[in-house]
Amino acid sequence: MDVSIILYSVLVLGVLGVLFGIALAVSSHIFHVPSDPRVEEVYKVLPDLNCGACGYPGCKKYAEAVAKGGEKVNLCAPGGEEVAKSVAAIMGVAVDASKHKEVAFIFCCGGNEAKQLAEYQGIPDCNAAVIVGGGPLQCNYGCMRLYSCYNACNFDAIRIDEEGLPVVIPENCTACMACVKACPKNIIRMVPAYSSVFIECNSKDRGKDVMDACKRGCIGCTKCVKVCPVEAIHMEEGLAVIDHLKCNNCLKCIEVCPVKVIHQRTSPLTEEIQCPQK
Amino acid sequence: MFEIGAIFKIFLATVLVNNFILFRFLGLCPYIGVSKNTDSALGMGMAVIFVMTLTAIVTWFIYHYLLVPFHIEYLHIIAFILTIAALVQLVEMIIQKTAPALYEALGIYLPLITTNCAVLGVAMLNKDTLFGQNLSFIKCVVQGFGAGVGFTIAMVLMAGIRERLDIADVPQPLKGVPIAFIAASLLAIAFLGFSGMI
Repeated sequence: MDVSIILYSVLVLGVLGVLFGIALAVSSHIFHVPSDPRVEEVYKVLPDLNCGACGYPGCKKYAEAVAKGGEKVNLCAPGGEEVAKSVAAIMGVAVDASKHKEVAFIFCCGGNEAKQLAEYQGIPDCNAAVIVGGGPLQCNYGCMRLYSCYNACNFDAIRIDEEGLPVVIPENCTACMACVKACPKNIIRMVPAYSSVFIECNSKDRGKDVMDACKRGCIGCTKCVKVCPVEAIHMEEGLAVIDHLKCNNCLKCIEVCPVKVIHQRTSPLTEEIQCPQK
Repeated sequence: MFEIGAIFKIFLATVLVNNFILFRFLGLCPYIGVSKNTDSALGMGMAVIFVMTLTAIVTWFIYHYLLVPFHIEYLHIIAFILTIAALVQLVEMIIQKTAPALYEALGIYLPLITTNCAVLGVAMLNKDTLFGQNLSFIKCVVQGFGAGVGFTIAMVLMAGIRERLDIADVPQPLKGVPIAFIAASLLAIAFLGFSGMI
């Protein structure tokens, strides 16, 4: 056997490898581009969930936008205040306190009381169901209980209650708004995390139509608006809406509501998301 | 004159008839992965054209002036991979320094190409003999460039189709990648129509 072939192959590949190695090492010095170290620092404090709640495609891009483009430091919803503070510390700016932690809330309590027009047997998905004549419910604003929001949630923050209605668990909710986008009926909205009294209906129909379609629907009687001592409730197109910033949890509206759509949050609140003023 | 005709034939063959993605089934990973919108598909395509042409040039010299004289042609795969990887790294660094705008456009796709089998495929095909003759340097470069152009055409076409599919009413079980696979196969069948052209 010719030994030289072994020698040649080792030599040629070895020389190639060494040459390329040296060339790369040299050129990395020559063509070194100084990058902003703050991008890495900001990226490190971000939760790295890549949920997109900040409006950027991933945490890395948001870190770049903060360090280079002067983007706001408090856009990271999952990270909340803590991350905003550490990002602000790195960037040497003050945190804009106007944004507080928000969680998703599902504004429908129809459940078994919402009248079914038909039985839907198609693909178990809300977005598929609305294609068929707006869904199986008589109420155009009601939850169809097909769980597009449940499937969209990446953080295990939506559970299904005994009536089959999806319920957001505020402790797990990162405010990424994936469920908000998934809901074809636009029932899910963002509320401040500390709010605890909710008018759980989204129907803007007339009172009689609401009564026909669902026993648990806001009929627009305005009783809660009148009884509220802090004027936290107002009417929007025949639907009572609570301003969670004003509500002082007196629960008078719950007593007065004839259709019992106003509820206090049943899941226990942890201390960290309790409202600071209360 | 014969030479120019042959070169044109090689170009046409690699772009349409023996399209790297749709006929040879090389580089399918970026074909499905990066073909979600036309801009990034075009960026990826440009980067591939660039790297493929450069690879064709460099590997030709490596093969004919290094491997052949020492009779170690059987090491071509390892030598080509080494060369391509080092080359792409080098090019990335140079572009980042000298042309930041181009780096922004190509930058994220360049590292993806390092281990792309389509690029290795160009080098491997170039070393193959044609009727007992080695391909000339010019023909190799044209084949590399043509392969890149063919890659880009397939990518951009696919991206255009997928952009339309995004807003189309696709049945839920087929949404996303499944319908993309069906579209890809239809595109490959369409390109089959070019076979026999040369």
